Amino acid sequence: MTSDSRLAAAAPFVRHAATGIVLLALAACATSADPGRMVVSQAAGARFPAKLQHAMCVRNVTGGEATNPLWVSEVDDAGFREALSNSLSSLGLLGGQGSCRYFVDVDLLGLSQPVVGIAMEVTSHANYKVYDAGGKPALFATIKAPYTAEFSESVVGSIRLQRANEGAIRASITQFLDRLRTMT
Amino acid sequence: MTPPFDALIAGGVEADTIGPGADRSWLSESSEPSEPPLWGKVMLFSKVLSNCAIVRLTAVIALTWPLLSCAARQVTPVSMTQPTDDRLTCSEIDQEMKRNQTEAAVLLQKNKEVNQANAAKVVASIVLTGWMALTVDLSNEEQIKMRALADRNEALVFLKTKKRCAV
Repeated sequence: MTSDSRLAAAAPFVRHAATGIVLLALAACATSADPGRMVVSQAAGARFPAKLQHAMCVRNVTGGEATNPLWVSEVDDAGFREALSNSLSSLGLLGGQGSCRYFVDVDLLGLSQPVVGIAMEVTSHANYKVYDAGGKPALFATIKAPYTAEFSESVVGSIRLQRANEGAIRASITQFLDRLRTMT
Repeated sequence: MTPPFDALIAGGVEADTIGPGADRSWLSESSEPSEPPLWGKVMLFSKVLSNCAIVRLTAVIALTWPLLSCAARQVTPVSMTQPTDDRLTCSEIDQEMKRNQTEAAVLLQKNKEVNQANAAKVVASIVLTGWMALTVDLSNEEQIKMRALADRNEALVFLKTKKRCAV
């Protein structure tokens, strides 16, 4: 094969590669975590203490970060609050207005994320603080929850990272619920 | 002479038919006016691209980027409560709180440095080489440990109250 013919044969590849690079760049715009994907709606295990039934309210969520589309996906305070409230609601723990006997404050310490990866493992770190109506601490829990988003969840890296974030928060809420079960 | 465009576009098999002895007069600058002028520009562009190792390398990196594997550094923040808390004396609680404050101040400074370094790496990855992006630190280690220490101190304040320590 001559040099010129090799060049000509490579031209379509170069075109496709250039198109692929542009598409990858466009697909890489980061989006914030979806609260719906962070909700824990079914929890296997022991029943929750009776005193917690319809008695919990999410008061403060801090430490979350807004997502910069040009950077990586993050979990913000509002998204986490929605996910936790919906999780508590679906398990019959969320109290209505005026019926809150336990207040939950959450400090999202941060997410440990990989830069790249086929299987992306994100670990969420959060402190859950439950206070009774008198302001006395009922539970302090430091929860470290990893989740790995496999390549099958999304071929696009930025979306895979988002899925990993959501999974790590879901795992964190699951562990928190487990701690509530053992609350005396 | 009309150039065999179809053969070239179709790929290598047909292109191989242009052997060393083949008539290449259509490739010369003195080709007939019937040759599409755009083709020459496309060929030149393709030649530059395919001869440029950096472009090829960049394309390969971009295409294999999602396939690389790299885990975040493991971070272990201090827990809000610890099994030995009930055995702490009031002075020990005070000492730990001071130690935590000092450590948090150091972590705050380190966190700023990491953020600045990350920003510099991102700029370098755009201007110089995409490989720099791989060195960005997204573990948030300093931030996580710093906030954990602040929460630990919050728990220690409650412990002091519980133990009726002097404020």
